[in-house]
Amino acid sequence: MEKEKRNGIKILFMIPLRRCGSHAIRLRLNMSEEFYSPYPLHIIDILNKVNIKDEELLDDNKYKKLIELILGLEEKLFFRWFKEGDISVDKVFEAIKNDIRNIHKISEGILLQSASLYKPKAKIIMDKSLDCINYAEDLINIYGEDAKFLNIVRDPRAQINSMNQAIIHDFSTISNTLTWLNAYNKANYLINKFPNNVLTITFEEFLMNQEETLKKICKFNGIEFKIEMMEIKKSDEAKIIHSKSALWKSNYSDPILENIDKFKKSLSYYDLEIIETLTEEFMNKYNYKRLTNENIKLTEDEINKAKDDSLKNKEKLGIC
Amino acid sequence: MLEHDDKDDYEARQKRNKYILEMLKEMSELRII
Repeated sequence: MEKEKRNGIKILFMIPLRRCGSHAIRLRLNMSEEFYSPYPLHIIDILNKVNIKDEELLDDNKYKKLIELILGLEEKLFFRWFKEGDISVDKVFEAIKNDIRNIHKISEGILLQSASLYKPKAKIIMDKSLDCINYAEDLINIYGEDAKFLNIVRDPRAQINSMNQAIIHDFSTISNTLTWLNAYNKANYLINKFPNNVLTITFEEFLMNQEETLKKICKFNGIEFKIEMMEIKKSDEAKIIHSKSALWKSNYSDPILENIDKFKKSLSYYDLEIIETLTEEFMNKYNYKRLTNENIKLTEDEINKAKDDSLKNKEKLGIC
Repeated sequence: MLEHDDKDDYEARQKRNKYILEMLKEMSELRII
């Protein structure tokens, strides 16, 4: 069992797509001594660019180079995992050198080192990167039945509205809706293939009943619910993160119910039609009620133009 | 476009991307990628 290699600590991956309210949930769970999930490293930014040859990583120096790259991502976080001098390439390498070698094991190794230093009672470590839905099959291959997933579903209209404002996504409703659909289809595949490994909650149920939702997550992970999880004002990270972006402001307050349909103020009727048409299957599945009446037919030209426009905007910003 | 809500994150993201590209170049030379 993979778990035995981690002294019984379980590993959890949050899926399927950023801007789902994931920080709100992560920050609350982090109030427990048994749970550890720092700000994610987002190794997808590497995986999307290159194909790593795992067989080359059997060479110690090459493996250390990849460890150095991943540790460099940690150094660039505004809320760092490590205090200065607490971590080094050699420390990570020594801890993981005899395990199978790949980028996911490095990510796990760094997370475990951080947990052992700052959350020594942690029973669960969670990678909140969400984009791990894109390599979930690899994780299943590595961790087998130990790989657990926390699937955070959010009303597509609210999530896509939020995505439209974030530089990590596209500046286009069409493009972001296709991204949303792709991620939810992948999550659906995972749910159907490994039903016992995935817990699905909706962000709206969290907003409406924070305590019960957190208890459900705790039960799935075999940890105790703590009332401190409801006291977000006591979280140092929530205090810092909420000031870093307008999109993170609500992370330092109790759940704001009015945010459930805030998207109505920003999305046009045509935007709503696009989203509700393309995501209809999932809107039905998760019981989100439509606001528009008719399905629209998007042309290939419209889809291609949306992708092109978004790409041009990203190139202009230098964030490709 | 920079009026978007998380513009504060923009600079950090640019630096991060630059760092990744530089490291990937080194890894390419080592034939890891």
